[in-house]
Amino acid sequence: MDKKNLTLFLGILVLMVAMVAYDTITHGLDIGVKGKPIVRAAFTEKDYSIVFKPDAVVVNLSAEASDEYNGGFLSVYAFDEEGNHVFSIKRVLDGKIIIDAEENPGFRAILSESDVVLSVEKGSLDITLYDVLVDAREEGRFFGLEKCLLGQQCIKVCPAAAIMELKKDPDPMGRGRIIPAIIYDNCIEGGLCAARCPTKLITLENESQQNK
Amino acid sequence: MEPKYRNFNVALYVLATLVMAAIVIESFSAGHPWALTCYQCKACNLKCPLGYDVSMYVAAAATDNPDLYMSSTKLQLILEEAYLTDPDMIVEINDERMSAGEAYDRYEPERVVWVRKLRAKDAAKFDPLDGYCDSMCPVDLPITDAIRDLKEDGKFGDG
Repeated sequence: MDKKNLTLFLGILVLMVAMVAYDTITHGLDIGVKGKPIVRAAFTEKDYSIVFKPDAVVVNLSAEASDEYNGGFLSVYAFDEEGNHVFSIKRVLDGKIIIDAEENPGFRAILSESDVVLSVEKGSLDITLYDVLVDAREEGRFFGLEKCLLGQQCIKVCPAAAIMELKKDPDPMGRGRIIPAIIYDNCIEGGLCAARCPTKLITLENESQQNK
Repeated sequence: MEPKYRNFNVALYVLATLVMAAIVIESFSAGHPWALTCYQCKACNLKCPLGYDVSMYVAAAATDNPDLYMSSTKLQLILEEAYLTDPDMIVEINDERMSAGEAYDRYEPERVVWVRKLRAKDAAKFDPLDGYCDSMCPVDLPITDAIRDLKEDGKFGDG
């Protein structure tokens, strides 16, 4: 290698290192607050009510839930007769979510026998979410409003494999909602999962204490 | 080859090179050069909960143009919100499509409308960042990163 090439090579190397260093210092590793992640409590009857109308299902959020989620997204779900978690991701508009009677469900989550989400498939075009909700109500199966959108961002972003799967909430108060299964033994409390969760289902213990 | 054909040939090659170079420069200036590797298979559209044509996010990133219009099938907005976001946004009311500006003149502002066409930057504004598009991409392009970038200020990159 002659001198010119070596100088050029070193110059490029220094420039690249400087660029990476600049990016890292400015925002590369800035992920915000760190802390122990916790899964927030499920919505209760105080937080929302569901009204079945002939042409739509309307989910009315309480003032408090509406303040937090207006303009944001939540999932309306119901269990079908095969035990699948059928859901649609809906935007909260003026404290309400409206599901038209002719709307197909967005997704269907297939659960294992141990209630772990095996896969999330596109919803069937042969059924409507309205019918699944009505069936679930009449047959006494779980249905309602949940925060997890099942996009699995928390699983993808965790560098420590502390979240490996989504599962049905074992707590009966959860009414069959889906939550991330956090393995605290693996958790390094980096805060990435909470930062990435689009609905703040995962929050940090120190943050939630501040909010109280 | 005759000189006139040779010159014509060279001129076309130069033009093609300039166009390709412009796209490369745009994608780098947007901060998402990976967008150039998208081959528009549109698999990302299949699971989008809002029915977005997600590949247009990638096209917008490749050309650093957040004003590109994209289609949507499942996004609902309050009419006033749609109008204030972009009066040229295409909305649907009673099976009739019209611009948000036209709808705003004809209907009550608090009416809920279906959005059928909107700019990439506006789509990002209403995007839940759920990550379904990433999971569908056969070449693992970080589409959600581009959406997150656009959501911050309606522009790609830091600017």
